[in-house]
Amino acid sequence: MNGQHELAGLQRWLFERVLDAAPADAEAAAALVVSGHLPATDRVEVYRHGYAARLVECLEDDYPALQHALGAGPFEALCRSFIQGHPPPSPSLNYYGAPLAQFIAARPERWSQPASELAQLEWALVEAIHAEEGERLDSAALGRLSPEDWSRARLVPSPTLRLLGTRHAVADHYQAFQEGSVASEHWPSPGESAVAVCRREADVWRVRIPTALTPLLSSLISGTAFCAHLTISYTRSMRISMMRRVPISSAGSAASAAANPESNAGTASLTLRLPNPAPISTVEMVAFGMTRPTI
Amino acid sequence: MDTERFGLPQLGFGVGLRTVHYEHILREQPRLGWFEVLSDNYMHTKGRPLAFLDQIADRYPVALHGVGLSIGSTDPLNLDYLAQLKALRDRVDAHWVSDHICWTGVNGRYGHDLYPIPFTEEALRHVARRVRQVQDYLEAPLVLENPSTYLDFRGSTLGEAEFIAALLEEADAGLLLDVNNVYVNSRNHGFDPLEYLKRLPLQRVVQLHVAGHSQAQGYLADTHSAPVAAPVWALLEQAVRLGARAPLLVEWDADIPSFDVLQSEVALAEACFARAS
Repeated sequence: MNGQHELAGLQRWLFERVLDAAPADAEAAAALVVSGHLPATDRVEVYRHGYAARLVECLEDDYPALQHALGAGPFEALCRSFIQGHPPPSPSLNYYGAPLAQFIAARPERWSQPASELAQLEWALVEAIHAEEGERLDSAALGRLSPEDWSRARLVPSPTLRLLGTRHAVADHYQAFQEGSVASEHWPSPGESAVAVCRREADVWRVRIPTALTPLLSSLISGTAFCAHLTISYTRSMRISMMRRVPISSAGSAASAAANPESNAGTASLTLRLPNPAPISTVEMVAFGMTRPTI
Repeated sequence: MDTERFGLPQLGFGVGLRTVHYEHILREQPRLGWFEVLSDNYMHTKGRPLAFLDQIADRYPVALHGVGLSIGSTDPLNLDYLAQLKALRDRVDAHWVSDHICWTGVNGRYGHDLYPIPFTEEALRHVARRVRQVQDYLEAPLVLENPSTYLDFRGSTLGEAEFIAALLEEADAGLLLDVNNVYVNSRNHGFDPLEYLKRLPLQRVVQLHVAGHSQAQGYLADTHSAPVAAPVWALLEQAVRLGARAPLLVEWDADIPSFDVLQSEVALAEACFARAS
């Protein structure tokens, strides 16, 4: 056996034990590892323990609200169960926790659904942190669109934007967690809910969305042209940025605001007129994360 | 500190850049020679961490320090990883790139830990060849750290210091001398840390590390979670006297304290260097 193969064999031997894929073998350990004041198996155990501990720590960083809701012990048990079936797929741990929500959803515990939805929100926050912010929506560019362009215009979502529809009030729960006002081992209450997550510079935003609006926002995010759903009037004074409040009205005028761009000054105001009877007459929609119009 | 090693600058005293200190650093702009950046934390993000790093690298010299190169692995070198590392190095104009003399995974799997290499002639040739390949790719010297380890392989035919010295000579690489790791290993494996230092090619030391460790059950753990221990400061002083007068970095990765505490550790390091003069 040449040196490369010998080295490879030693690495495979140790790594199998680190991953718990092979049983601790005291005889083999003693044959391969110097014992000294610490037995050979204990020395291997340092690395086996370190592997799981590091990955648990990684998941703790990404899912603090979930850890709080489950309690420290059950959360660690959940993580260790996850880790067994999910060896890290890359040299980076930034995205190691991505499959956790799906893993939880498949579990039989009564808390699996709220826990999975809470994990979805926390993962959306992680993704917003690591995604490129991209260019920002330039309100002047919107203002330059001709009426003909509006019929074809689409909004390009920021890579940081995530929209979640959930069956539990996870956004309210997470806010309470942030404020320290939710007790451990409490779960988000049942109820249809939607939340959008987006980042601008250092700030990551969580915005509750009326559930009736999520199909519309989803449609805009997926690139559907405005005209497929609505006509739009635009007030130049609005500050379209990472987050902007957008009144939507079924009775608005597509032309009025464009003709008087200083009207409604001080408010963030895209006025969207729904061409068909809207599910709600007037709602306050928070649209955000759109980087630019494209036609 | 005016000696140049590999043509690399003497940056003085620095600390490891950690997320919790971003805003403090940008707001207060503390007096500090440089920051060491954990490259793996920035190679796979396009978002907020990178935006903060860009701002800090505009204001301070930086060097990259990684844990994922896996220079000792028998897996092929990860060319994607190297490309991302080089891109980050160029983006932040890092003065040098360092990683550990270890392996972090095998058979396409990743353990995210620093696993020990058997100190054999065969492993030496294997690692040296890979170091040269990395240096060719980076077009710069690679700086390699002596890692903390918790086991020795019976098949080792060289001591740790001899292995490192031979590796650095054969690959013409720099040394990141982690003084805490020398101390931790000396306790865990039972050797004289001063004799260990004397066997190293200290003229190749490009950077020094100091950090805190913890007492685990039957061994010392390199946890980076505490102030630098007194024996480590004493060993640092010895290392400087022996010629390892290089830029120094205080590492603190768990239970991270306020930035003021890190600066207090830096002040202790400066005093240590002054005593060794």
